[in-house]
Amino acid sequence: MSEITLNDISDEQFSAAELSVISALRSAYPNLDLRLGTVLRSLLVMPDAALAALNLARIDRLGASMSLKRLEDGGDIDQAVLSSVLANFNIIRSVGTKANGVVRVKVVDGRTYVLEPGFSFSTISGLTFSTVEKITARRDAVTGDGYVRLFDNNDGTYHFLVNVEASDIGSKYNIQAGTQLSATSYLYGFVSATANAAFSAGSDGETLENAKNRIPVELSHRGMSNKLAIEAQLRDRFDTTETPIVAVSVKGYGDSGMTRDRHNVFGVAVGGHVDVYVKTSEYPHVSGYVKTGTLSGTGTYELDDVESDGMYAVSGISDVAGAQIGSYEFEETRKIAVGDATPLHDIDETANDHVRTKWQTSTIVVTGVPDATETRDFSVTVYDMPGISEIQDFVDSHDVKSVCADVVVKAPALCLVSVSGKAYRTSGTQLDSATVERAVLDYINSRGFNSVLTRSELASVILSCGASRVDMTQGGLKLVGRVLGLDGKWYELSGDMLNIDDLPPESGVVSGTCVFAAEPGAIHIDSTVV
Amino acid sequence: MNFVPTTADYTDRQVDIELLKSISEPVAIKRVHPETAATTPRAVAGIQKAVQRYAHLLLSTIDDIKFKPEIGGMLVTSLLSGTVSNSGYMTHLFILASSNAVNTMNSDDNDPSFGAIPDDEYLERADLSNIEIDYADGVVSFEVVFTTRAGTNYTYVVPVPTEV
Repeated sequence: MSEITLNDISDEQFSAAELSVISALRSAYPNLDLRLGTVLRSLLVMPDAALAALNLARIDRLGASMSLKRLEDGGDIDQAVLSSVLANFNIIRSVGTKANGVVRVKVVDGRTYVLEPGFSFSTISGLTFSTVEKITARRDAVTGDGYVRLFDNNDGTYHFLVNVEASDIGSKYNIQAGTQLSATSYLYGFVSATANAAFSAGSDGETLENAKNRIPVELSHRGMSNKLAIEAQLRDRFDTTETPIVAVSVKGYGDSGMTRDRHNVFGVAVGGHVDVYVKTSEYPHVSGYVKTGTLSGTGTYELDDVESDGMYAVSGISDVAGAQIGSYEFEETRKIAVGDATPLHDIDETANDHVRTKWQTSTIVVTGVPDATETRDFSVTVYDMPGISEIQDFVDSHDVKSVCADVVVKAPALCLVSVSGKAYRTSGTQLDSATVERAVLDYINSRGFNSVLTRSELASVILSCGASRVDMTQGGLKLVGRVLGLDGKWYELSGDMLNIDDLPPESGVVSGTCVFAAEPGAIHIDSTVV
Repeated sequence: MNFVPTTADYTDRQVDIELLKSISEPVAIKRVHPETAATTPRAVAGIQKAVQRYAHLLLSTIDDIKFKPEIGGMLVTSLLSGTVSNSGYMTHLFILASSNAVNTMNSDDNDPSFGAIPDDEYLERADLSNIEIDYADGVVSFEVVFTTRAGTNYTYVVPVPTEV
């Protein structure tokens, strides 16, 4: 922060200080003439008033730097000062995270390819991604040898998969699956590159509003005793890690969505059970795996189990070795992982208590696969929630564990929202569809455990981007949400309002256990001149 | 030269620090010598104080006083820089600076927060009656007739050096 000097003092500030000095002097010495032109005014009052004005300005800045409201009202916020003030409330603001994902690189030759760390790819809009580690792609690579396998596309071209990271933090780097990329570094035989699945983990820095909302939690005592204290305990431990807490919902004795408290012969709710739903990724987090399938029937493969932290649902399954990107048909079931004992916790697999916990594992059967071979590699992408296992281990740790409650950490269900519509702008004004879509996307993903999402909320977001009108007719702004229930079935919500509590009871999803989420490709807003 | 000797009692008047030692007694034409400021400060009141304020404001240069850029004129600057080509221009510069000085004084004189000002300290006018130029010493002497709200006239001479 720059030092305030006399040159920063305005005539108005000086005049105010001068009046106060004159008033003070005259109250003590009424026979001093302090009018303009007097020696007393020039030699006594004016220098003192200048220093008083300087001190007042410094005090004012100090006061402003200690007040969140004044920082906010000031408009141009000094982020360093803001962080210092928030630190008084035990808040460390998230600075945002970099997106990451897998790029499918197509090349013309079956030779060995080496990509050094920092090898970069760029989208047409200038978003840059680069490799973090040295990548060596070769045809004879096998699992575990440290090399990346080069697949034959059977059309004279080959491809391999590369993990990349965004060059900067921000949610705009969460590009959708199939996005075309160009290699900004040189690669022999390069043909094309595409995002193999939707990129995830990119998030913007925490807003001031969000940080302010966290103040009650951060000032609460830490412990496993009540909802506020549980959230405070988790944030205190994880907000500075790679999986900071985005939102927390706690379901306890008698709450809707809590079923474990009825595991008794009478089927009545009793205390001692706590389900903690933790959102650790602001945007839908997607992880990719290569899984080997074993032929079990005509065009049917049983895949190796998928164990992805806080896994919510399978996003898609494609053939690693082929050029096909769309997903195969599949059936997925969730069970408790073999060998995972849960003696501390009351978890009933038949009641789906294990779903979205650290103890679940996913069994996948893929159907409709052509060219039957005994085994086959598949690319499996899943929506998950990183950090769930680590959080469970934390609440089970000796010093933290509740002495009177069974606490189970779960990933929330995602209500995957798609939005389409038309926004109008007046002639001569600008309304960029991409900007509007980004604003809608950010809004949907930023809402924590709110149970309702309405068309009018989204219309308000679109209007704030500069639109003059939003088509709200029946054929206009469309809002659809899909939720995977605990029973493994997909449920759909649509209409003016998506209300999580409108889901049928058999879904096992109620408010407080589900968050709204959207991927870039699911938002389509056309901009039209009125 | 029209002046009236005064025997006014300035007891209990608001006072200032005396800057211009030579105007201790307003009973005749007095010369105002800023360079003879006394080393031992003394209180000054009444018409002497008013003339001292006037001289201070008249000889100030516009934009020179921080936070009070509107005070003063271009009289001293012009005389020192030798840009005054004739007595007409010099009269013009003086009248501008003098008018500004009187207006500035009256502004505070009319402000009750400084307390009431006696009529014989309130300068209503400052009229230039004569200009004398001492080429040998490089000094211009402005002879000024002050008229107070009490109706009394006082004549003072304000000498201004033309070289540093």
